[in-house]
Amino acid sequence: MGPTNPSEPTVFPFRVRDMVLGGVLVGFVLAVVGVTGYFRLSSEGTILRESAMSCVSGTWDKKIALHVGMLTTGLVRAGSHLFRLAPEPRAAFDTLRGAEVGLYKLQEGAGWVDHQAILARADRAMSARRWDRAVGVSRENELVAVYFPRRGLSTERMKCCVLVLQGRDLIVAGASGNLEPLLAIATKHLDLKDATQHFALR
Amino acid sequence: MKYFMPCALGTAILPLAVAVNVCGEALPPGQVDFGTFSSPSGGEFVEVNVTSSLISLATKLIEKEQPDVAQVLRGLQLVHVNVIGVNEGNRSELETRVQGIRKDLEAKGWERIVKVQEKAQEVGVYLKTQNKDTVQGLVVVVIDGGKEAVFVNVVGDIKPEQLAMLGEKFHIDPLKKIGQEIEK
Repeated sequence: MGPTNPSEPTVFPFRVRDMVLGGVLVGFVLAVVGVTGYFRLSSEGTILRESAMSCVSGTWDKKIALHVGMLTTGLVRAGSHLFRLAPEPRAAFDTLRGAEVGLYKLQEGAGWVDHQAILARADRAMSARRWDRAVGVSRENELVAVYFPRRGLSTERMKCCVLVLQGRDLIVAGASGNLEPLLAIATKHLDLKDATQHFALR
Repeated sequence: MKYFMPCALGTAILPLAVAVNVCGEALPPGQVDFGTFSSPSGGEFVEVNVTSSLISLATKLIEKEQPDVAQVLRGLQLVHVNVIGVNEGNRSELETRVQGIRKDLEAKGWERIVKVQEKAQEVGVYLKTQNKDTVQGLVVVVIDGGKEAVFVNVVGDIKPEQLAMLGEKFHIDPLKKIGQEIEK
């Protein structure tokens, strides 16, 4: 193998056309992942759904599963600043950082639903992800479980996940947000109320 | 010889790490493990577990509006409530469980400050204190023979008469009811 002649033009392993095609492909895959992401639950939501479904012998039908993440809520938040809004709806937009909901229905003829088994399974799986159950209510054919992260909760960073099983309907929901804008609104109303009271006393 | 120091260090650190881990898993003095309860078939089962992170969040939410209540919440680490519906299938098991918990609490130095027994209802309120002036935890055990059994554990500095307020702030109805009963 002889030395390379410096006068020869450098040959790139990829041509411009290949790079453009690659970029389009990556963009397409990202767009598909992004769009399908709207119809996929988060990992915590999926755990809750699977915990409920795996404890019941029967077939579940998906009615709907929607998930909006930080990017979408961020865009909505930024867009909302282009419009003149009352403080309360603005605070609501500023609060929400993500939300999801999944609705499923158990087909007729399914077996007995063991609430305790669902709770135990969901607790184990959520605990492994450092989420704890704050509320668990089981009454006749209703089950409600609410989970929060074990650490890192604050008014700026609030997260929760909920599982509701009512008869043959399963609802899995979750939300994350920054409560500060809502608190600011609440405090403002409170100050105003206090100020009015003091004014009345004069 | 060159392996002596790492081996010696490892031998010294390993038991220490294990000891620290064991200490880390031990329950705080005011916390009681009631064990797991199974929901009665078709009956009521409620479990509420308000951990320190939720308590601090609630404290922050109300500290401007109600600073005195926030002060009480700051002293708490955990609020745990279990309500189990009583029926023929689980009555004897729950009564045995209640007896066991009472014995265990008394053996561990908890002081029974309230005992009410009327008809089928029994209420016991226990307090764990340190140096007689600092409350480390509170336990309420209620067995209402025909209806339900309630187990409450509040870890932290709390007085029995503050239970109703706590129930109201966290929207825990059984706690509110028990607090109102104690206030009477």
